Amino acid sequence: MWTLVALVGATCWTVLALSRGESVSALWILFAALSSYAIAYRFYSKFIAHKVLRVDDRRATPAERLENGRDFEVTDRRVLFGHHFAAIAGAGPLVGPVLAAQMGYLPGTVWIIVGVIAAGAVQDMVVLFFSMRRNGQSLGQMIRAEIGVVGGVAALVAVFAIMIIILAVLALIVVNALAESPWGVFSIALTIPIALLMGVYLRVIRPGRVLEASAIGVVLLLAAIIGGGMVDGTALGDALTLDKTTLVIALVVYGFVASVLPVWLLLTPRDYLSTFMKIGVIVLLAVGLVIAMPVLQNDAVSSFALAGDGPVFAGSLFPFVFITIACGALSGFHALISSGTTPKMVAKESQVRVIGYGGMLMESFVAISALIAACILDPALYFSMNAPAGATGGTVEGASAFVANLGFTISPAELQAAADTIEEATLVSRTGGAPTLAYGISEIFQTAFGGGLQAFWYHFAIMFEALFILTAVDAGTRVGRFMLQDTVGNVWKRFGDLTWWPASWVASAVVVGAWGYILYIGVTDPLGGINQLFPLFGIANQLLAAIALTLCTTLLVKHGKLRWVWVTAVPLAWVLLITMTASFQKVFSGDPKVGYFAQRAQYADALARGEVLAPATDEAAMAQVVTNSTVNGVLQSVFALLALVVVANAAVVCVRAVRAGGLPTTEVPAEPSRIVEPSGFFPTAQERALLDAERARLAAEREPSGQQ
Amino acid sequence: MIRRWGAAVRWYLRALTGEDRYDRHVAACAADGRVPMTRRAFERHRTDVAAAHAHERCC
Repeated sequence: MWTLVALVGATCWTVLALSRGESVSALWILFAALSSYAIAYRFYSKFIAHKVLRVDDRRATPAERLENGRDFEVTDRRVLFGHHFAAIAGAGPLVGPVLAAQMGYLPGTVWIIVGVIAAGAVQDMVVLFFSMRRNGQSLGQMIRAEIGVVGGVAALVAVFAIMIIILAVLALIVVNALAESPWGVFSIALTIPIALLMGVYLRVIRPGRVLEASAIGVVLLLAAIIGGGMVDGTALGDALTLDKTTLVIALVVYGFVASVLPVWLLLTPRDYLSTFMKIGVIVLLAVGLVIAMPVLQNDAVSSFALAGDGPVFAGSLFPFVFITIACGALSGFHALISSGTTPKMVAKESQVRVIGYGGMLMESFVAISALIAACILDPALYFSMNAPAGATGGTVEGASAFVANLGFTISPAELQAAADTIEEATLVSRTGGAPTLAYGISEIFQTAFGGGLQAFWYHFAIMFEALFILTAVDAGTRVGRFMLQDTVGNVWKRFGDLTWWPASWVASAVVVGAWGYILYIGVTDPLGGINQLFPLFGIANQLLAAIALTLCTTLLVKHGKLRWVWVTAVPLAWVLLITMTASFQKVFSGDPKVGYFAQRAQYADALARGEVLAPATDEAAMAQVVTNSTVNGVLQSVFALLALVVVANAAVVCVRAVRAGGLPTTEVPAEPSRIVEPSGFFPTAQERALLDAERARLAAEREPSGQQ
Repeated sequence: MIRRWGAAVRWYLRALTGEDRYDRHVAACAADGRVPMTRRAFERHRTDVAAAHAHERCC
């Protein structure tokens, strides 16, 4: 059986590698991914679990030992897989691959598949395991305990700062997708009252009936999308045609309110909606792809990959493909979920394989689907949508002329026709990835399911992306607020009280203000926010991965497993190489398109000479570029330095551990487990026999008490 | 067959969303001979506990 899977995989990879200049079906990518995942899961994750980590199902997990029905709770592996997946996967794997499609389909495909197998899924699983062995400690707590206070503090600051950047960039994607789109604004705005209604339903009307409430919510959501199609051209439509700055204010206010409102009213119901949409869309997309069997339209490797002069984001294939695609291949943010929340619910140690490794493979599959959706678009349309407004002038004529310079052909009329099919005013310079993905998805669904519903599918896709992002933004703001209150609470105890409203309001305002400021910078940047900020987002996320992998490597060394240390050390070396190269280029490159400070110098000098450089149109815009590139450059340097501090601190600990042949760690001593649970999704024959025996034993225990 | 699949999907969704928590509470109380909380009080308590925990969602 596995030979067959390997053969399918090898065939798909060969076709992808050898096809040049002919039409290549997207299904080759899909099946190359699926067969590679299957083999990696079956063999590599098993090797890591049993040889490297030595999972031991006779040992009780914290969920079993400390069960309290709240955070510590033995949870069915399939249910926990769902929880974990819903927590790790959001808009990230949907957006990164779309932007990376600028380099062609092959670099993204290779990185997503190889990256997840060798790095991303390994990180998620190993962090989950180590946190589980430490009663579910968070990443920051583990770094502090196992590496040292310096590393711990650096990690804490890095996590907070990185989270702010991530929230800002996610919000920027929503702003770019909703700007000047009354249909989008209408349906997204309605998600708020829909969530409120669900919240009241679950709290007051029919407590706890989540499936009912969710069904009502999903129906209303679909109605909101359909209704959105009717507002265009009406007075309401005009009122909802918002510019980017107004949307920034709306999002900031929303983020603040969501952070201080009771969770049952907005956050929890929105999360249910988001989770159901997430599962639904992923299934629909996979089915749609198989039915539609689209053909890839772009080159395997584009000319921008080597020259590094692409309009979507600057920089060459190495390191920027690996930066642009973070989520889906390797995402440091997952380490925050793999430590802290999920490990407290794992029933059996061996389940880290299905939850940690398997959950990340699933996210990777989402990323592959997104990459395909972008690569089946006509490259001329793709670049018209993703080049910043400064380059296209924001008009169909300008875009047509701009992509002609890149060597692609699309007439202004064709560009307008494309926008008309989805009932949007324009598709030119709709950067951020979300509109491109939504357009790609709408084409796939239109081909697969027919019915002339392309405009509906486009707005459906925009809606779910915005829904994921808003869920991440409000949850992230709350997490940031908790972190801030917790940190300040160390010095001023009262501030740490989560129920004291002045503290929660101030902390929420600080967090919202921080990401709101960066969002504003992105939105008003004359050079285009996404191409300026997305690299910062990717590097930040990968630096967090570097920090997490540093912890994993240090722990393997401390546990005396030097022989297997390459399992996390090789991905660590790779992620350090890409993030440090990218950081170095972003800080020190003399090319103003790549280096933030070179860009700053170019614009500052011109400003001093009284010149205005395109695409800036006046002195204010010039000054804006100077400020923005300074902020971006400083943030970039700070992130890289923080990660290096953690790595340096860990290196000292590792050297000590190697000399001593291992060091004591904070791992909790083993206690015998009393529960029987299968390790994979499907129980093996042996596990089934054990489960039956366990059931019989429990029944026998109950029997005498029943007779009394 | 369809009914079995339907039941499995329903079980999964109820477990995923926590809708089955109350049933489990009632069952646990019955086993221990305790009086279960009302559904309203139980769900309120559950959401209040959730409010004190950060709820992480990734990008």
